[in-house]
Amino acid sequence: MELSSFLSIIQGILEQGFIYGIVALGIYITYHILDFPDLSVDGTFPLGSAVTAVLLIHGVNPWLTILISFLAGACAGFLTGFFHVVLKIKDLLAGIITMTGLYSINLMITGYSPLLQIGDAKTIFNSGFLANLSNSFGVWKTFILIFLNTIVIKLFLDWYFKTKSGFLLRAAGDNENMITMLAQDKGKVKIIGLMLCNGLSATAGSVLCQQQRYFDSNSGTGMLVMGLASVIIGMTLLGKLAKIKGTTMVIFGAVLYKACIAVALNLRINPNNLKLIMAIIFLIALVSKDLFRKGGKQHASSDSHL
Amino acid sequence: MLHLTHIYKTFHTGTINETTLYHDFNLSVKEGDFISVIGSNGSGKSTLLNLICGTLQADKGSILLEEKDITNVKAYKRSSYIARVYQNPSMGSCASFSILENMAIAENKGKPFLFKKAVNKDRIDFYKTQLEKLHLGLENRIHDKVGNLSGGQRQALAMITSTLTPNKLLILDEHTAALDPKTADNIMELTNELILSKKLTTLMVTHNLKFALKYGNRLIMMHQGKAIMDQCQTEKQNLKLEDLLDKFNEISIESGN
Repeated sequence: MELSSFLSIIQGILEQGFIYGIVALGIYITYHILDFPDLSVDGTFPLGSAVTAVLLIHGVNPWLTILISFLAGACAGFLTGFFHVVLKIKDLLAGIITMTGLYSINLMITGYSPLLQIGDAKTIFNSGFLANLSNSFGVWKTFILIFLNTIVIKLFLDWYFKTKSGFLLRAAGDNENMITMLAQDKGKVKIIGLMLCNGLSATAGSVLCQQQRYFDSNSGTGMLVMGLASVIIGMTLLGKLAKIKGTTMVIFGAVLYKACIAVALNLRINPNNLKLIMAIIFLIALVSKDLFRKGGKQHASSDSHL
Repeated sequence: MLHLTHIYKTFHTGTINETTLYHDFNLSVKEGDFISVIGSNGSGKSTLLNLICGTLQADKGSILLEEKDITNVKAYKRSSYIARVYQNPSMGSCASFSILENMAIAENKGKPFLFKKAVNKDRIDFYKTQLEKLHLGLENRIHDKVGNLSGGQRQALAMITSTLTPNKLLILDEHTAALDPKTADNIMELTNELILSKKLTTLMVTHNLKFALKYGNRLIMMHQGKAIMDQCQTEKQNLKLEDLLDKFNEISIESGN
């Protein structure tokens, strides 16, 4: 393989990894902290893309569209939380309801086109101060922007986990009873976690839409599986290193996951078999998590990478 | 200050397992009372605590705390003025949090959890003086994860954290039952010191008859949803372990055990 094509594969892995890393950060909150396998991310990821595509076509500031996507995702997350907490629907089913409903809603937003090109609309990659600044990085320009975006989100989460609200979220995952003892409503805490997670998932969908320049109604399929795999791969491989934060680990996990997929594709595997490969990677991640745990530190101490 | 009046509670209503536990149950607790509650399994001790804390709702009747009707107040809201320590030491703290972090969130009980930094470094000295009371050396380990502490240490910490903020009522739910005898003695002694120094109104459910006799100013024995023994002050001081055991045998024969 030539060096240039090798570099372009690496570039693709990093770009994808850091975009999907945002989803992994969200799933880190729901799955790792709250122990809630939230399938609504499969719907909120394309929701972010749909909102972004339409807004960009209407000439809205691309950074503002990311923020609006986050809010749209958070609203969807609120619904999942409402179904679970108020209507007492099981966690997995609550997510499935939101995911299923969103599929139609996403199409409604884009005027029922499952593939919506954004044409020559301005995105974060071709307009604004940051885009000009990163022009000097040549082909790496796109990655630099994606990287900065993800890192800012990561740093925001690191800060949030140190606040009182963040502590409450972490406490909810550690010992639900503590929330009641602290005179707080545990349902409310779960809803906040779900809103954050789905807001982040939609944010990732927004960035992907801006990079690929189109909305794809099917882009969310398998998002939870990908996110879970990223969280588990990252936490398993880097979990032994006490100094690394959980948020860093899951972004690393997402990059590694995308690397595995890229390797598979470059081995000339039929792309139709990709979902099977994703399932196998997920299976290996789940099994190896327990293998790594054996003889290692106990749950209590390995869980504290915040 | 706490009044339970005309409480009715039936479990599994409408099934063959239907059991009426409370039939017109009444209890009045005075300010500063330290009450030990004993009784066999299924006598209604735990249900009593759950009704007061709001984890269970009575079918009928009312609960008044300091003139305020709390019968329909949600459990988590009651927590802002009722402290509770559970039998299971891991219920009272977060394993993945350090001692310092656990104390920091405990001190924020009842207040909003917003976007201020959770751990205020200026409070470390205060936390340390609180931990020194335990004589367990925990004041030198405030950055250690609570998951690495022993059951006794965690229960001692739970006693401190649950009483860090002002409470109207302290509920002890067999809080020494999961500990070895020596540790149980220590925790009980510590509990007593805390209750006396903070003048906490306390309800303590225990299976340890010696603790029930030694500590507190009032003793209640529950049986089939009724307080079959309720002795205060001097009556309680004259009570002996044999009396309690006799009474226990009496009710056991009655219920065919």
